Amino acid sequence: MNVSPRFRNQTREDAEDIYYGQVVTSWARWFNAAAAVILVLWSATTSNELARNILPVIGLVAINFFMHGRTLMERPANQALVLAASLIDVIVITAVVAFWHDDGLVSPFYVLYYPAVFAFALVMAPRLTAIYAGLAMVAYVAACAVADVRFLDSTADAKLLVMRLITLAATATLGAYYYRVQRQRRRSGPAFGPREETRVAPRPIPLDDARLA
Amino acid sequence: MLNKAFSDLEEDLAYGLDVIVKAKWALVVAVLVLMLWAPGPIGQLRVQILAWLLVAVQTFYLHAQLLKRRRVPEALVYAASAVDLIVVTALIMFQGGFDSNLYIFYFPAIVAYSVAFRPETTLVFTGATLLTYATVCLGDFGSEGVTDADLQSLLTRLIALAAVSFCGAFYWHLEQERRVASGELAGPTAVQDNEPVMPHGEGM
Repeated sequence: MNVSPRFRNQTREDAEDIYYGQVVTSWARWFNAAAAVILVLWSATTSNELARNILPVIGLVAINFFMHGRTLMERPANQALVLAASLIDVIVITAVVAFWHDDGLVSPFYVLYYPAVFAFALVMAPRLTAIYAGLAMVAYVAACAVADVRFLDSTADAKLLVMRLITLAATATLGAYYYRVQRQRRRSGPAFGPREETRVAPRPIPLDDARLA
Repeated sequence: MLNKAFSDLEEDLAYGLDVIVKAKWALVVAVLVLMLWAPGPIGQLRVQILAWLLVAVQTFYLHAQLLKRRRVPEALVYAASAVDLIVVTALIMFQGGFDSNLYIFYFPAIVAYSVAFRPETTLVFTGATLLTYATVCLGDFGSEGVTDADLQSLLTRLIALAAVSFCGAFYWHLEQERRVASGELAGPTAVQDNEPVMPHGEGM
């Protein structure tokens, strides 16, 4: 199959962005894991409850050790693995919102979606960010519905939900927009640099295709 | 004719201002929805309308500068972000402090400046925001009493806000490294006879 050079370049750029940027998603996950550890330790009243609740947190931490460890060893994960880890983030946050103590719309833990979605938007291509943010928003609405089917009966609740979805969408959009701005910046060189003939042309980043695969 | 050495900082701010303006428009839309859909008491609504007007006019001005490809003073870019944070904090204070759900408006504002400003500046802005918000909430707790669940909720909000800020600042740092690695950034360069235009203006 013939692949156009433009498509090949774009694919390579996508891979480079993931290669360099994925550590941001790891950091977002560390923050979410830190919040989860503090809350689990703080809110548990019995040993059984603590042991049960800490399990998913340990899972999240283990995933992040793997992901961050690969980055530190200069063998970052490929797109599929980063996508899988990000999907797990959404699943875990949604489960916490749906089932943990004050669940559904009153759950305070929906804020954990914001770092996850923003970090994803900075690393992945905008089309993937749109899908991921949409998925997170649908998951949040579903979690609210699971906790209380009648959660949209009240206008105040509906307004609350819409405000949260707007700000989550704005966060994803801004991240994706900045991603696009940076890519165009890399393609075009410095905005306020010397004149074209004296500008030092950006060198391709020395990564072979095998490392990006 | 300008004989001016444009620093990397100015270039970053110029690119970042575009993101900040987009974030401000998002705030304008969100506050509009807040005002018009099931409006709150008249006192709150007055404050919301004033805040909306302030942010909308400022955003329009900044967007106009971008469209006209004019350089915006550095201080004005910082002030634009500070105004967002102050407006959101004022809205929260007038809507019940800790009980207000408007703290989510901090997210787009923090996202925008964290990728636009240098990490040290981001740290100052975020530190001040978190400190102010925590003080507002703790003051509210002082008058109404506090439960463990409230404190946990406050802590979660602060961690999420800090996480977004950190991710933005870290990404800014990574992008700097990438540009240095590619040879694009070799220190500040002198520019002669260049018009002080904003970069590209795409997506406007």
